[in-house]
Amino acid sequence: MTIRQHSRLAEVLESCRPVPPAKLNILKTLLAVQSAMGHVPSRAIAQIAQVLGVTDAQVAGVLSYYSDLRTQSPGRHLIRVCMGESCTANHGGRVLHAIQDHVHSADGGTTLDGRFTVEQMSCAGNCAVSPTVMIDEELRGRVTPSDVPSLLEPYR
Amino acid sequence: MKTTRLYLSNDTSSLAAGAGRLADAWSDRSEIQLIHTSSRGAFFLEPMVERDTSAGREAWFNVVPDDLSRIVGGVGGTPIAEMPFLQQQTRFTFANFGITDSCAGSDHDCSTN
Repeated sequence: MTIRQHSRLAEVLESCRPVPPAKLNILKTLLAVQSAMGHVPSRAIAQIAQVLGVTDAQVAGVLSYYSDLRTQSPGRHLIRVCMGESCTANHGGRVLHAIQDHVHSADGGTTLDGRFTVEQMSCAGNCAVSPTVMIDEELRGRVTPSDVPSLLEPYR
Repeated sequence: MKTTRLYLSNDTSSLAAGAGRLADAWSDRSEIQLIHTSSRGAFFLEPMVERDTSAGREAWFNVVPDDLSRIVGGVGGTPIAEMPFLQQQTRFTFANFGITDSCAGSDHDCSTN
């Protein structure tokens, strides 16, 4: 981590330090760190654990459990393709490959220009209009491979 | 100019199917007033736009922005009461889903609904 990241992390953790009678909340702390830094650096685990008064393993356990928590900085735009049953049955896999081909990214990878990160996601709950793709906070349904270029154009 | 009140679902899946983009495309159209409702659950028909008639609401299905003149003109709508999907639908809770604006306090008044 850079000195600036260390400083930012310390600020965030200070605001998350549990003050009795408030209970410590590892997940809330990790979300706060990710919100401030874009991700939760693995190197920050020990520092987070120390502030919260828990073990490194407890922090690492929560961090690895939730797929929305990330240890690597994502691209400027996060593309998540739903791989739930309905989306998969409606060829969500083809949509995923079309996106990967279009932005030149392997699954879970960030493009070389740092513009996109492409990931698979569990069910988005949007089964009625599957296949679903989520770009940042925008949810899109009934996406077909041929839609991909126009879908991503605004994010170029 | 007479303003036509149109109803458009603001449900997450409706938005994902294009309801939000439809609302954006019509945002500067002064001849209509868009009421954002919850969804009736017929997502295969979304974006679905409804308007009032003297015989109840009529709906247009899988609407695209260019359909606006047809809707405002009352051409080609399907009476909600005649939709097989809704005729077969059993509602256990929230009878007003798809009908009211979920953010409008007056739409939750038990004395009027």
